[in-house]
Amino acid sequence: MRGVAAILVLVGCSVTALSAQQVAFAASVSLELDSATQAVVTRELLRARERGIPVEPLLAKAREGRLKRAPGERIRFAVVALAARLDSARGALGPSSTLSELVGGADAIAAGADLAALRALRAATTGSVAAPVGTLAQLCASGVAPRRAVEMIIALLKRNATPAQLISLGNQVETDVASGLLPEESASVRLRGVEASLGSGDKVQLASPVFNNDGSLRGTTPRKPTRRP
Amino acid sequence: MHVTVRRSALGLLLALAMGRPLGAQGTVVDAGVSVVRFPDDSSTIAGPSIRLAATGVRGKFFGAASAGAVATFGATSGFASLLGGMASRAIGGWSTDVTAELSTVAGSSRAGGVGTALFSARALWNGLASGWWLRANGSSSARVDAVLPGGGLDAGAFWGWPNGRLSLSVTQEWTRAQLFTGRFRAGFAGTTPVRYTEAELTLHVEGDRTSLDISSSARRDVDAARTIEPAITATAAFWAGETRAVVLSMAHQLPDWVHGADAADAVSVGLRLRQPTPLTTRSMRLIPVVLVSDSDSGRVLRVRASGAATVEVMGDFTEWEAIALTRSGAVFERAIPLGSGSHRLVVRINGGAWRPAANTPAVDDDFGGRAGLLVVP
Repeated sequence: MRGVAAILVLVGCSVTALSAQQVAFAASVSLELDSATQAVVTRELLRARERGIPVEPLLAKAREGRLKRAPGERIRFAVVALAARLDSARGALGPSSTLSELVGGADAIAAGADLAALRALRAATTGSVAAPVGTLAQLCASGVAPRRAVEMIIALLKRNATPAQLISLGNQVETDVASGLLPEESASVRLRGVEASLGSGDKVQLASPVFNNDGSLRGTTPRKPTRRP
Repeated sequence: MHVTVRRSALGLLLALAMGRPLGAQGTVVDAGVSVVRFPDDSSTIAGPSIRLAATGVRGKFFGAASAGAVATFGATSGFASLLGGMASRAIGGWSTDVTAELSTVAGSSRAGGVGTALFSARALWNGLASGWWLRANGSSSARVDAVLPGGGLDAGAFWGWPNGRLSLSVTQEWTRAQLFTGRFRAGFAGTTPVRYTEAELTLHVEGDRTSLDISSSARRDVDAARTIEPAITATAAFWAGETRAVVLSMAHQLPDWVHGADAADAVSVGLRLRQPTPLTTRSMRLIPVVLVSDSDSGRVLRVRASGAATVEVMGDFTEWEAIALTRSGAVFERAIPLGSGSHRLVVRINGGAWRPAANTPAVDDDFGGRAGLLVVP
């Protein structure tokens, strides 16, 4: 295990800059997986590297599965699924997104947020969206509707809420939900609390025109209605 | 003509329904040997016994199912119950709940069984360590020879502490009973009203691996052979493993006029399976809250879990290795190199199950489990 840690330290945060052979080597030596899982993980790492997706989360996911004694098939599925989420997050947040932004975006997607929500958050600020997408993931996982969550976060961003204030919203809502409060009710109450901590000024406007009526991001072409049986 | 007031044959193992740790949920199996004597029939069943019980809560809905039987050559007795309900959200300590229950009891000492539908509505005030309730119920019980309506009111209060609970209640019940002649319900002779008042005191105390339940009551029924009759049930459980306990119980039970169960005296010895120890159950009831703060030496992860003896965490930032936190006053903490962004972690209290903290939303960990989502500024 100490050897594993040493290799991972060597690979570290610059693993995206490593050669394909080095990536494959890092996966094979550090994860001690069965051959089929090894092959899939290595393939996903190489694909991720080619697409500019950070491979650290994928290595960590495979390592998590091994430490939790998950079957190889499950590890393969988990790595492939995470790679897909990271790829989608990168597509929505942009190619220059940081590692923490992409991980947060992938978590938000896993929690039920769609790509339009991520794009809306990216468009709402010029700074890092790590905290906003992390908060989005929290709120969605707590049961707040993604669209409502995005509107709340954007409203707070417009009031220059700090990352800590955004994240406190997510933490408080989850605590309330665990106590039996409805997610939407809690989110509304907690939003007012954060609003109060932001000091005087206009009330947070939740009716932020972020989305078109059909749910698509404002500024994009509305979706064409689809026929249903 | 000698007329005997009776109902169906069972008083089975209600004692074994007791002895669960405070707040326990899940499925429990009791298997053992029981001796049950039914004084109204002057009959006794002695043999292997089994009971299955499952309870659960999901949001505002709750439910429970149980079934049990004791059998020997030529004689059996059993029961089954299905209960479901919905509780309102607590406002200022006040809440209400409604419950519907279907139950049946049957025994070889009579043809057919008993089916009872019972509905109840309760108003409850629940403080931090005590509370009280007021409940009304209505029932309809189908017996072989008649359908018997019933209704009742009960009020009670309870006091809880970390390792125990005491409750006191008073019940007023109105229902009907069947009249039979001879032993084993030989001849049906009609129905008669039953009205009684009952006061009950129950006590549950538990250690880390033991529990004791005592329930005693006194019933005032002017039509009974004795106007005031006592009843008592006692159950002791000793855990021999993390989910296995040896259970000893004895009971002197009065007739259950509502559900159709006979008076019974019972002694049981058995093994309880799938029931976590009281220590584990108490740990699961603790609500851990994760906090992250900055200090001179970096970020400090703190877990607030009042009443916990040990706290461990593991997450992506520990490479999913368990690390123990150090107690510091009312919290447990440890300096951890925790970067900004999203992290996943789970918490373990007193060596129990790994679970997300109360303030970290649970998400799938992709391996069949759940992990808490922690976002660090």
